[in-house]
Amino acid sequence: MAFNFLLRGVSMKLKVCPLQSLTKGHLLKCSSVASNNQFHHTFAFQLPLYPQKRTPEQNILCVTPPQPHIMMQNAKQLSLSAKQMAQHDHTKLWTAEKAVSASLLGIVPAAFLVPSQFMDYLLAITIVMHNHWGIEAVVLDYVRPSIFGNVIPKIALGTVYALSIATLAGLFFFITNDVGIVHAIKQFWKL
Amino acid sequence: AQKDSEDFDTKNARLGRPQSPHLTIYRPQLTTILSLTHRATGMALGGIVTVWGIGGLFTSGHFSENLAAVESMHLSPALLLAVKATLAFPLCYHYINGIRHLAWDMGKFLTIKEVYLTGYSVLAVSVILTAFLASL
Repeated sequence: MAFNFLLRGVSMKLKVCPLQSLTKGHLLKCSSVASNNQFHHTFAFQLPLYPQKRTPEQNILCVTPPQPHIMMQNAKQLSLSAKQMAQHDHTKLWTAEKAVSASLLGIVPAAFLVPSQFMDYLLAITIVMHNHWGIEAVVLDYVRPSIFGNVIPKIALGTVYALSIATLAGLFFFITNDVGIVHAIKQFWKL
Repeated sequence: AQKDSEDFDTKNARLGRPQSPHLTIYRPQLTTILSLTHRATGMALGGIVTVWGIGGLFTSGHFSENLAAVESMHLSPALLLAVKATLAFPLCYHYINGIRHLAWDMGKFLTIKEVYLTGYSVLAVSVILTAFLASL
């Protein structure tokens, strides 16, 4: 699949290689990885940063290494199937998940050392979010269409959402109308 | 290869390919056992939180009474210690191994040696922390 992307790129416009213009059309022979033919072909499908007229010299497949954001797009095109490319990427979600996990490292001890109703609410929110993403990952890993068909995975995922919402509501209700999470645990521990 | 609208599993099922054995043949190692335990403790903690939350929708306002009822049962200290340790271990293990996971996400401790070193450390710290919390 990746090869098709490579082939596709050959017909697109190419940026002039500075090496080429310096040597007036002759390709420099160089032992570095950058001048390796395969490496050059990999970036053949970048769009140029400015419009250019094509001369016969410019048709030689010699392009400069791409900038980081172009490399990311290329890597994404190579690593994702056509179906996956239709969906947006989840990098921001991943970062959010890790941020919540890291914050829990601080919030859990702090809620016990400096208890307050605010800390209880904060604890409830972060725990439910963290738990939701975790259980969602488990369900997506194991309740797969190839085993369960097309309907059950969707129901399972909907159930995860419903349970998380209900859990958050219940915990908020408990914090507001009862002794609170941290106080309850401390009282239970005194048994 | 260009027509990738088909799922991996669907495609291989269509081609009638058998799947290689995995869980039944692979030797259990520290890596897999710790990873499994991380998921299992996560699910256990999640179960507790979910039951507490949804239960709270029905029983809010009665926690102190219910706790007093349990107190009047005068359960043996040994049983109470066992219950506390059983509740504390999932939290401790998941918390400490969670730090290890976040370190991996930052690109640290990714060699096999470091994975095993941090793995044994996580086990040791979790057990010690559990013992400490259960004794409170």
